[in-house]
Amino acid sequence: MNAAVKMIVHGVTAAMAAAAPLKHPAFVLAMFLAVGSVHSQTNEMETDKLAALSFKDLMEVQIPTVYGASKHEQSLTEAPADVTIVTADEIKKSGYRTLQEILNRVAGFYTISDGAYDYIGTRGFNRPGDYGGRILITIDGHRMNDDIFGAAAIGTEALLDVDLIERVEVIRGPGSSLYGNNAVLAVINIITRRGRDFNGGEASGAYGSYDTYTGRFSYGNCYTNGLEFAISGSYLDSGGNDGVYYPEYANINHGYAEHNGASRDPSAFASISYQDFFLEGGFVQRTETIPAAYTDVFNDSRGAVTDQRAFADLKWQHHFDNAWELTTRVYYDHYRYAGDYPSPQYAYGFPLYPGMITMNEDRDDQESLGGEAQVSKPLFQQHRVTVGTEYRHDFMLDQRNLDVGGPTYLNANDTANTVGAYVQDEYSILHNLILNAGARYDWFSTFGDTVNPRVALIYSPCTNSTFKAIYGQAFRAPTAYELYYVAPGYVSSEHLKPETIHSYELDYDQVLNPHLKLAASVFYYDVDDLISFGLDANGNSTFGNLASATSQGGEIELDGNWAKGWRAQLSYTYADARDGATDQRLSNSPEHLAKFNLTAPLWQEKVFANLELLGMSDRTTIGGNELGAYWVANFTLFSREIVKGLDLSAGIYNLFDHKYSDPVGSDFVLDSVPQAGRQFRVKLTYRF
Amino acid sequence: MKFSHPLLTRLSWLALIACAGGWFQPAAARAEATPEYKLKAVYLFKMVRFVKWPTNSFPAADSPLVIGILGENPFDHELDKLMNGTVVGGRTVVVKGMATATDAKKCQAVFIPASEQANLHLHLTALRTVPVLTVGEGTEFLDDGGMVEFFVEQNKIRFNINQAQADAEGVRLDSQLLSLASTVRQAAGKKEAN
Repeated sequence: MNAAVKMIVHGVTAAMAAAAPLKHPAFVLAMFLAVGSVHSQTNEMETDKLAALSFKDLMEVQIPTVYGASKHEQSLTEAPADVTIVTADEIKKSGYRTLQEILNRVAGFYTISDGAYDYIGTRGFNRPGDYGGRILITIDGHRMNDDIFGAAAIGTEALLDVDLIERVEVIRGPGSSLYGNNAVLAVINIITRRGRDFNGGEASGAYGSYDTYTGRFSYGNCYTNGLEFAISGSYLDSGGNDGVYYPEYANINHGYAEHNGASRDPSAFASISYQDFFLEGGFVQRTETIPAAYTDVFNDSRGAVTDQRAFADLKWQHHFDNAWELTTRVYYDHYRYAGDYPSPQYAYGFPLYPGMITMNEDRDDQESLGGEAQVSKPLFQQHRVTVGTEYRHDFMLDQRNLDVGGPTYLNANDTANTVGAYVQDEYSILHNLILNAGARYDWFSTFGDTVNPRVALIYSPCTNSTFKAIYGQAFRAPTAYELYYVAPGYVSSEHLKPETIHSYELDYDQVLNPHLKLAASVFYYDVDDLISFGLDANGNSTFGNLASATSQGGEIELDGNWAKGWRAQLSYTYADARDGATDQRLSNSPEHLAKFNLTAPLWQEKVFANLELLGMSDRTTIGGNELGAYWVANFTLFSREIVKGLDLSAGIYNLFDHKYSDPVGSDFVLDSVPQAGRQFRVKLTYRF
Repeated sequence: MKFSHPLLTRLSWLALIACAGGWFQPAAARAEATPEYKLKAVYLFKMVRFVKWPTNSFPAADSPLVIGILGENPFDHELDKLMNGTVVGGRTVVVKGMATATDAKKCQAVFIPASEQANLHLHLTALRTVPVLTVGEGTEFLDDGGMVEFFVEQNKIRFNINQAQADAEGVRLDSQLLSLASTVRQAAGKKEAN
């Protein structure tokens, strides 16, 4: 047996041995029957190396492009934003389990977890208690943030299994000039794998810490008549992390919550295309036992949150003879939230008999329909103009809250409409100078209208150097939750305005040599009318456009690629984010953020080792407590095609078992939540 | 004005100094070919190996195989680097820039970049009666009488072939190349394959 194979097998056995007793041997067997497709990813385009490939392999080489920055494919250097791409290959080699882990790789981004949900922020902005709504997440261009909370789902509650991702485009900076709502700090567009990327069946299974089993079955193909489809189903079952110690509850079950974060998570996704038509849709329902921090009833397994998401998007895209490109689409979105919270009293202060526990039920439903039409056309040689319009109707925005056997506190049934229109012109002033200017008008039935422009000047003075100067304005509309949530002591706030950001950024990209790229940027963000919880004149809690903030800083990134699959990325972000009124540093805003990722080929470009280091400096909680700086290391061994069609991955996360906590919002009893220690996962994928 | 913030001012100066460094890179004289064109250059390099020209398309038995590029050269030096000196079908390959389609008639293969879109019809009309492999970009290239058109799909380079056009002009395309094409147009009476 080859040494590298031995290492892998040894790694798996060790990981298995470290695992809790395997309760489902059949599942483990199934796991061994399971692969990701091999994509040739070429970050360095060296023609002599490409010429050595067979024609067939050459046709699998991908051009690094981004779709989401201008709503059409363009090279990264021409995009009116600082863009990072994470590919399927990188996802596999680094052993990422969720979108949250993928995004944590990206310079400037950081996530926090309250145990049930993960929240994403960037460059100093990730306020505890917000739902990540300043970042827009799209799947193949379809908006995934819901309209109740505006949340950006990135954890296991997110719709897409990460195995179905072809690439993730992270487009920093304001994107409201094309996308409207939520595109404040960044747009994250996920491109899914299509039928041809599967070219047959694929089965995958994994086992990891907390008795977490995942399984997936996918099939996709592309036929000679042009019909292409992919269909996939996944299931996750986790026993939850019962190893977190809560010193605050040391007197209950010794401070351990037995079902902390136990979850069940079925999901499905499908896409089909024929000629100019493309239809895709997906579904996910994640139920998770709520972590201890959520209520003041500790270690009660009846507490659970369920998030259900579904969407369908039908697109028709046609290229007309005179280079017109018309895209029209209609879509449907569904979101349902159900929270069950055990409480020692009726919510909001009505006392029960001592020792009695009641259940508080929170139920939200969103149903939406929408459509978009977009035309893109080159004009007078130097211009490319894109014009579009979008309509969205939320025909159900329901929020209910009640105590079982007690009073109903909230029963709001609302609807909303949004109309948007946008235009963007890419003007090639010189062969190395592009002016990209655009604006979008949005009208919301909830607050009125807003206009958001973006202007970018992109200059490539010489070989391998690109400069970008970008100004943009963007907004986040008040959510149904912020507008209509009422309860005793809480009043609704229907006069809320959108939050706005003015963003200034300078980017510099330099190819230092064929193997090494440097990217540097400086930014200044000015956010006004931040929606925050506060007190009105009568002492009632309510949302208001109460705060403003700024963030300024810089980011530097080195990206290296060498022969045989060696890869290294190093990034550092400095962000000084402060409250506009007090000039105090924002909570959950680390000044320094550093990331390192190294991939080393161990054997024949078939076995790879990956080391990831993620670190951040100290942060404060909303209560003003300081959370110390921390770093974690993740290590993954990945092998592909050692046996035909078989991929194997074994990862250890938080390798050194570092203890750290993340800040959480004011809804929580605690102001910070201890995070997971060392975990492992082994995964097999089989293609047939 | 937000730009006047002292930190930002300092940082932007830093960036400017860094830029200046970038300007004095060695061999910084011209823009490098984009990854897309580097890839297309390799496609061309591979493709000419699957093409057979009638002997009368070469002036002499030892004439080189000439690949012309009409208009602005999007490959920078990538295509020259790959092609020059290589031998295909017993002939040395030479890459040359072409100012007009009339000049290009003497080539065995011509690449017409997207920047020539406005003159595309004229170019292809001029090249219609000679055994020159015409390779271009965009969705109208075959309609206008071109033989091979590149397009980008899911970040990968794909191509369509107008075999009827190639046949009409005596350019023989190997079946291996045809099998790699996304679509192949054949002469009327034969069905559209693949």
